[in-house]
Amino acid sequence: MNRVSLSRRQLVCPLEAITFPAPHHTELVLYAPFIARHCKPGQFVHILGRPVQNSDPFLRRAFSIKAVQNDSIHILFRVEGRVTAWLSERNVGESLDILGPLGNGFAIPCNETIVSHESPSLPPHHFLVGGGIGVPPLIFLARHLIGQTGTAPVFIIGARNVEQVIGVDDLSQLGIVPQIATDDGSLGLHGRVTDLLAPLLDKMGAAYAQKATVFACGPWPMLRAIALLCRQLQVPCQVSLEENMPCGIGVCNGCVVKCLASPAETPATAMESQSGWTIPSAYNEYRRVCVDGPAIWADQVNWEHDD
Amino acid sequence: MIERPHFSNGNSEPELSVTLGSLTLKSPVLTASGTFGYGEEIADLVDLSQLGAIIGKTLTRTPRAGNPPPRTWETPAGMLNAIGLQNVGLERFLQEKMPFLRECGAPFIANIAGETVEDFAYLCRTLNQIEGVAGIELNVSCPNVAHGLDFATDPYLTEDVVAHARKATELPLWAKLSPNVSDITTIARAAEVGGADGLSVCNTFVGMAVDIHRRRARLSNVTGGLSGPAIRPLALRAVYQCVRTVSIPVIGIGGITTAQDALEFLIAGASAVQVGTATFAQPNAAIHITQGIRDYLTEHNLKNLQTIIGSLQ
Repeated sequence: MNRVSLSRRQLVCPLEAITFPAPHHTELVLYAPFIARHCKPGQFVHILGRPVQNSDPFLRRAFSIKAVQNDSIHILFRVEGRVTAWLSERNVGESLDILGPLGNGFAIPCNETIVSHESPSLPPHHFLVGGGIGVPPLIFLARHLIGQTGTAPVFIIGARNVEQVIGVDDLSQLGIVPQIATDDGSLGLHGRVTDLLAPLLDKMGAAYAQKATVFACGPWPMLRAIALLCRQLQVPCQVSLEENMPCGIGVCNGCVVKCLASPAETPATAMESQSGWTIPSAYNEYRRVCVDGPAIWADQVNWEHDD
Repeated sequence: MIERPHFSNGNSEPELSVTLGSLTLKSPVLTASGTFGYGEEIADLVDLSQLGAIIGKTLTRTPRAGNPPPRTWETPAGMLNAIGLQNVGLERFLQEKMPFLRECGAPFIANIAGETVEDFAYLCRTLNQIEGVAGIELNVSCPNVAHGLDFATDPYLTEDVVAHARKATELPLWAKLSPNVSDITTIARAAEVGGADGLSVCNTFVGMAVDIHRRRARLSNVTGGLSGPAIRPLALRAVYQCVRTVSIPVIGIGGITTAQDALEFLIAGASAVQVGTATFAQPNAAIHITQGIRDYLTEHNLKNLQTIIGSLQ
């Protein structure tokens, strides 16, 4: 059966901390022991961003988990509309109604040897590429990968401008210095994340390419460009997708992404998934991002449309 | 904590069961089609045995992929959806979903749709033989698929499809009406004449939204069905009008989020209610509503629902 492991709860979680790490960005720390203990990188929570008795805005909003510390989860988001603005005005001690952990999480390859610090000449195996507010779930993934393999992944951040670059401090705490590209050149390379990624993948060579994985999260055009690059260079690639989610739990079929009608033989079939990776959904060529994703192998996605 | 008085029947809890024709349910709160999957998807978050009934996602004879995304857009106090009846088709449903539904602790009502009356009849004939199906709701009112499915905008087509379904099954048969008509009472009457045992009033209202920066509709289907609290007064009016037109039970649907909302519909004459969009914001909405109805009866010293259903003065 096509099922994610259904360890989900609805919880009322007190806010432990609220900070503003960059202009128009808010980070919340929520006491959520069940979610903290069961969540995996790539999963998200669905938060009711209004008083319970109100009717508007009606629906919950999805937020990726950026980090887990003890019994708390961290989420980091950009303030875009009324819900994110309301969440940014909460005070420590107030509680939020949360569903989680949701989604399938990244499928993390585990059949490789541990790369040790004594062999620096071996090329890195993981490339994490985050665009704008797509960075936070990759921070969780980076920490997990370091724990598993002892080696820091390559981390690339893309953003419109310097103000949209987030996560650098979090990464530096993990010993990671990200490569950065901005559309306007106000920080790092004046260009796109693929300008940074392509040469790195290229110089790996074909033998290592198949053992590498690119994990990407960000706007659709960025994911599409990365997916096409990885297909060209034959590097396995997972993308974490985003779509409006009325329910977040798999009952409404609203958050679908168009996939290839018959899933392609993925180059990663040799890899085991630690995260309960689902087989292609029963729902024909449209898969629910909330339960059959958000992490999906890029070569199963139909990248036809531009946005 | 409300003190619970003892009633003459010896129980301290008010009786919530409702009888809709030949169907008796333990509570008047059902989950609406398209908002609860087939139960199993949400079973870890909701105790299904506390529900009056589960109405499944619309089934069609053959699998449907549904509409391209974007399929949903939030609007003031509600949302638009144009899912497009994505479903695995009847055969896979029977193999993969029915086993769970038989054991889930709540009666299961199958919601079905077809492009022709023959499709409806086929689905009814097949479901008629399936153990664990307590009733059938006819989706003659989905606004999100290209022509052929919107029987409920025409009284003659409505009567015809209901009559064909009626001949094909002895199960309780409800017609789910569209509010996108000038006079829902003509459709209600037609469904009753066709042989419906009950009416589900009502499906979503056709609406749309526009992205002003890209100058495109927010939904790939352009239009979609509006649901949620925004439509409640409209749905309530439709229920009220239908109740006064037919003598079969009317099940009220439309933006019911709290017990107070449900009670408005019951007092206006609905024999039961369905909870849909509210489940997205609150997975246990139907159960909270059920408890709230129970609390209301206790507070007003009422033994059961019969005194309040249709008690509008």
